[in-house]
Amino acid sequence: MAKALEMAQKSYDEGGVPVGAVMVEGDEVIAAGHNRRVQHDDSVSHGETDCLRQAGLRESYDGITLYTTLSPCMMCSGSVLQFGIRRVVIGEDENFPGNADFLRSRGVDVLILNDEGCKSLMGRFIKERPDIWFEDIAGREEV
Amino acid sequence: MLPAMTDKTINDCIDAAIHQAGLCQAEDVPAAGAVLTDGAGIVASGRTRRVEMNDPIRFAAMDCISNAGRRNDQAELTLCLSHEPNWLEAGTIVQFGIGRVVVGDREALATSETLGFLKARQVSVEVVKD
Repeated sequence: MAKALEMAQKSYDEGGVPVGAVMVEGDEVIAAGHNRRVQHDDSVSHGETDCLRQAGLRESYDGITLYTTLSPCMMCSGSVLQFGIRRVVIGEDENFPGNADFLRSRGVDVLILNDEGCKSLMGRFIKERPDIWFEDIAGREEV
Repeated sequence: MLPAMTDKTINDCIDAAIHQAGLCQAEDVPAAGAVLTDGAGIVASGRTRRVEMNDPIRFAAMDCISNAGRRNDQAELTLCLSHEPNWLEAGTIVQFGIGRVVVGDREALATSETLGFLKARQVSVEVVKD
């Protein structure tokens, strides 16, 4: 999660939405990404989807754990189901409820860390740039 | 407010989505296309380009929504798909609050888990053609 938060901080420093994600296989980080809505003008580049992109095409996601600093939106939750990722570790779900229960209902193992560093960075961004944050989730906190 | 669409507009958009699917090259998955419309004209189009772009998330609807750029009028848009959406596409449609989805695959309606998911999450779903 420290690496995911580092990616979130990088995005914040670039003026973007501070959500970071990493993919872990065994004990190894195999890909890291962050939200690039602002940086790339790309609405589908959330932290998790950008991380999946950094990993490139794969035949299998067996044994992969996806770490994300913020509870995943429905797009990113859809990506978890689509690729058959079985385990997701979430930094925090206070700033955005996300879809942990939906993922669990589909058999995904979900752990929420309630991490203060993740909460603090995201909370600061939402206060500073509510316009970008609401655009990022299309103003939809609950879907 | 989601604008009404005539049958002709819907069919034209589905034809455009199927045309997009026909442009898929070098893909290892079934060809798929997508068109986003505001009811009057085409806002953006896309097709599966996962292999072409070495981008695992670049399914047809994702390509189309990404091509449409950053916007805040998704509730007024209709996404026409040549195919039943997969989970990533369906999740994206729900998160962004796209108002209506039209699928050019009538057989998909009864059995599709993702179309059921869209309807349960207040997305208007229509299926046309065979």
